[in-house]
Amino acid sequence: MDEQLLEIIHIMDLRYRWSAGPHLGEFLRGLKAGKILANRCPRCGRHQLPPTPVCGRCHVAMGTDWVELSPRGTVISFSHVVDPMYDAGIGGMRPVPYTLASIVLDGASDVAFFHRLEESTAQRVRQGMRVEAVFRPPSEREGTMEDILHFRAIEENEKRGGSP
Amino acid sequence: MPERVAIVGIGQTEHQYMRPDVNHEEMIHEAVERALQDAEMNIHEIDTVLMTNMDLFEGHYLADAMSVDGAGMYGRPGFKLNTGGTSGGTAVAAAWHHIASGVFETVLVIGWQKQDATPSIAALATAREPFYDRGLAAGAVGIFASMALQYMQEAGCGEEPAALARVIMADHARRNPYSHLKLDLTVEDVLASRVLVWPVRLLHMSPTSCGACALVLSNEGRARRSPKPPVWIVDTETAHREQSVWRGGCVEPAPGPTAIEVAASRLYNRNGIGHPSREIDVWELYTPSSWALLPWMELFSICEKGRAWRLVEKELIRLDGPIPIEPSGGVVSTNPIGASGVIRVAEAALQIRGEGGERQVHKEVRTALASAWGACHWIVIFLLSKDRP
Repeated sequence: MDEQLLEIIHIMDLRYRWSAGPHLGEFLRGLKAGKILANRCPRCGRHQLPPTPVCGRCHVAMGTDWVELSPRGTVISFSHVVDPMYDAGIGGMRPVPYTLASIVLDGASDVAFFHRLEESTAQRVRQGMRVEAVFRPPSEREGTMEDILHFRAIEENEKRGGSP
Repeated sequence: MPERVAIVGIGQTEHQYMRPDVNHEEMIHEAVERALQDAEMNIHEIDTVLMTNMDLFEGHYLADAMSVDGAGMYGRPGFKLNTGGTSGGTAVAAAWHHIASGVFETVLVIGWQKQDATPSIAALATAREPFYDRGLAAGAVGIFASMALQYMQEAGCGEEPAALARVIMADHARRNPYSHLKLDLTVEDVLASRVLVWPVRLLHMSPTSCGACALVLSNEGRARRSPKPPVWIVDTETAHREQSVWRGGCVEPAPGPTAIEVAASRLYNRNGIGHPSREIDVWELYTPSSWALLPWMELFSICEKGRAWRLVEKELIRLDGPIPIEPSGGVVSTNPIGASGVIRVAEAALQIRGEGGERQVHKEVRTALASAWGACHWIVIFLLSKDRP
């Protein structure tokens, strides 16, 4: 007797449209201009990255106190990703390998930024490594997190402003 | 003896079809700030925050995690919950239990939905069992169509009463600054709108809206310090047939008491209400279609079976009538789904406070009944009172 177990494959094709709103919107416009912007609580002074409408601790509205953070920072943790993972942003599997890092940007030690590391940087990454954001050329930027290509290792005496 | 539960703060957004100007955290924050201002409280006086929206409508898992700061959830216990269309009602009921239990003094409860993000019906359709009836289910419109057809047959009414009910709700909505649709309708307009599923027409159905509504609930001790007179949530009751979602919408074919009848009769019996239409001054019934109003007036025992359409015909449900229903303009005018159940309670409380503005019902309001209704015939109802229970 044929005892096949049955299953259904179902594919949903959905279109989403998310509103960035004024706070995340300002941050994304900043990326397009080659800047990493945080906002700051008018009461406790802490940075918010990504920017939010309210300071969670103080529950006061974030004002217009925008701060441009340094593109340079320090790696505090990292992860080499070798196993493909479903990417809800593209609706498919994300290519591997790549390396993610949490980076504390200079001048804002109370928040961490999260992005990819450049390949040769990833191969020798360690906690405490100094890195710098590499933006895509202005004509390729679209106001998304992908406007930053990756972070790459720097020597402290190196001048600012890398190229991809 | 449970703690008494009062509404001490009410806030909502101006509900709209699209809110491209804000993300969902910012939209939630608008309602939260208004509720806190209304209560003259700051977030540090809130013990816990409960939030609700319809899962997946915005395409987010853990949508609450993306709105912690704006919602005032930072550093406090609480959670997001979802029971489908009834979500807003369930959230207020959960807040009621949190306070009634004596564990929490103050609860901020938030309902919200941002339906401009995606076609909501796609998320709704995933509720159906994929092997059995996902390919057959007709969605919300079909439910109201069968409800309407059955009502027409049993009560012997035509199309006009549901159309007139829609006109009356539109008249109320135009007086409500928070309402999404502020339509100026005639019965002819409604009857000329296209048929979705006979006899339900486009104008019988609720819109898809973006919006948020927040309430601050407190125990009696805290309510005594409230700047505005507290509105008491005397009692709440829930009934549902959730198992029906995978049985073609039916639990069993034989006619039995509906979830509304079960919940309403329990609530009335517990509170000694013998004549609901006389003892309850205003009704916010969460009618997602104006066709639902007719059977539901009867299931809620507002009138005898088969009589509702005649009461509507006499326009007794208007703001100046003896049985005012949906003074807000109802769900047919405004439906940010996760918020809709909270809005019903908010509107009932505003009416008891006498803060209905141009939509304030004309007679004195001391008691109100608010409900939330959703898939699986899930119903949550609330008895609200100006007088301390």
